[in-house]
Amino acid sequence: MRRIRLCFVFVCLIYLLLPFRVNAVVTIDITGGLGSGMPIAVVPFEWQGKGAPPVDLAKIVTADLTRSGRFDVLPIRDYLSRPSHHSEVQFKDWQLIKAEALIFGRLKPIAGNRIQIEWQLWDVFGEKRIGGYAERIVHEQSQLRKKAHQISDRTIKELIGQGAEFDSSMAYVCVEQIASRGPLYRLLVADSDGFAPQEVVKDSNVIGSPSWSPDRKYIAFVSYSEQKSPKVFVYETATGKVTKVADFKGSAHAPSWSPNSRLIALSLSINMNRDIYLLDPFTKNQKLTRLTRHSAADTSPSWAPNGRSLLFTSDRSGRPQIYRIPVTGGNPVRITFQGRENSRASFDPDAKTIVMVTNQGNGDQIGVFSLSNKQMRILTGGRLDESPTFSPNGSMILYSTKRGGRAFLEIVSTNGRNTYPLKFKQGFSCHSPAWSPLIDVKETN
Amino acid sequence: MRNILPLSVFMLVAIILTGCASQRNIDDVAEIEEWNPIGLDSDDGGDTGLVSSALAEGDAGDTLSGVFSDDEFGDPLSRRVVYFEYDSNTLTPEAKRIVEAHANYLISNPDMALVLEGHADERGTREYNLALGESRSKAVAEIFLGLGVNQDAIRIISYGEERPVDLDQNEAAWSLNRRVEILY
Repeated sequence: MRRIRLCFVFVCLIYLLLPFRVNAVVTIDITGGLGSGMPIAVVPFEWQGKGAPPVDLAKIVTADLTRSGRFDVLPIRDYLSRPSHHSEVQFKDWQLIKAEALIFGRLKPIAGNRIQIEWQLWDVFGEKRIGGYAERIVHEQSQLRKKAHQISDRTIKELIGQGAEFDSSMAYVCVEQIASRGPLYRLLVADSDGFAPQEVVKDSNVIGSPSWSPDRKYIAFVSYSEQKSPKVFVYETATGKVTKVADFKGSAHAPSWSPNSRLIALSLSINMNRDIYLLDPFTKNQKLTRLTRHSAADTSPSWAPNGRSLLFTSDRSGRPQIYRIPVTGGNPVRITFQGRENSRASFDPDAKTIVMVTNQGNGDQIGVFSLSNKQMRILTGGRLDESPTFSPNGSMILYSTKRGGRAFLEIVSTNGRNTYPLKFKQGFSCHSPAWSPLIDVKETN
Repeated sequence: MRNILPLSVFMLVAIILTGCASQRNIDDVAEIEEWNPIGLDSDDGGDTGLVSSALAEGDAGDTLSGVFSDDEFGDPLSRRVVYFEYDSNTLTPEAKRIVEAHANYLISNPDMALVLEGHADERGTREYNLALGESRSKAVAEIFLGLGVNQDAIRIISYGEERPVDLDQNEAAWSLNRRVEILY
């Protein structure tokens, strides 16, 4: 009886939360022909302990799957039953509401403040179990969110063959204006849905342009902490140590780690001339190789996934546009010709498209440019959208936007179906996001 | 049209701030051994610490403030900020006049030094705006150098869009944010 009542309260809560969440999602239909996502049911996980469950796993999974733009998670009020174990599954209940897949599970507190998780993913029409596990033990409640993201990753892998996305994190910069002392800059790292932010660097001087090393060991960023000129620093994720790299005279902007995590491409101004350079931060004397040579300003380098070429932004044509140059140097090739301005481009993980900030006369928006058909799809509707960064397998793009003088982060699915605003502490203005590589591919099952 | 009042207030504040900061910068200059053509080893001209400490010192009546006349729009030397068009580093004739006045002042006061702090409005990417602010500072620096100012006396730094003077999101605000501040 108690369980039923609890379940009722739980369902009411979800029901109350849903309209808000749905309202917060802005759907931008790009072509009108994208159709719908795969209908899926995510049943609230049964909590076999006292009180409320420590974390609502189903809610996290629902948000993840929705954000990917590839699923339509069916509303809980339509569910005719709420199984938590496979013996309770009535396929007809799910076939009737046209759910193609079904997720359910349960959480059980066990000795030592640990929690046992069980979950399953079913093909409703094939009446076949296609994922899940039994009796996985979590030692800390803080790990439950991670487990939920792994369930999402397993689901998108099994159902649409998409690589993992959600067991990853994001780095970004938040600025807080403090009346007595001016701005306070923070470099933060949060989960892929913006939850559990951790402050990793704090400074009253400007911080910008974080970039993850693909092995996740480092975050390079720009700091004005020397109060002379901006320099590139590296934050070591395991130790929290911050080290200055690129200790050259001149101002360094826009670091970008190479795919093998060995080199940093950056924009460096030497002799009054801003060009793209490659830096080996790990050699003793930090070998520096010049990549571009032009009197115009070259910035925002970004590597191709195979490491053989880089994109960068240059105003050599008069306005910023995107160029591509081999890692060995040579003549850059101009990539973008549409729009007044295009800048800060980066490749998707398959190197088929490039995401960038594009100004087509309606302000700065996030656009995805196809390298094969040379078409640009505009994914956002702001006027000051910038710093786009692909999720690890490219189904989403994280970027910053501005409202009322403050910057916020949002995630848009690459197919344009869903936009998800991230929430931040009151008074924070957050920008310059960088989506991390996956935390641990092996663990995702 | 640009509203005169906020501009005047801004100019006044800029004059007070830069005036206060002058003594510190002169001290810093003594430590500079050579002109750094990279231009970017400027001092803490844009540091948040500058604003608070400079205001606390409250010595607005130092030599520079005395030199500059009260007439903010008549005497180009009293102007410390030059403004730019969108995505441009081209100086207007008025901006040139202001910069030239400071260049002449620097030539006749060889122990003075300054920082050229470049800024951009919020449109365009942060990284591009850092480069744009820098190219504006460079454009101003080139006038100084062309008129014979000693390289050691000027340094440049860009804050891109990080330090707007007007937080509004309209052309009036943006036109105030696209600037190079001449900081003694």
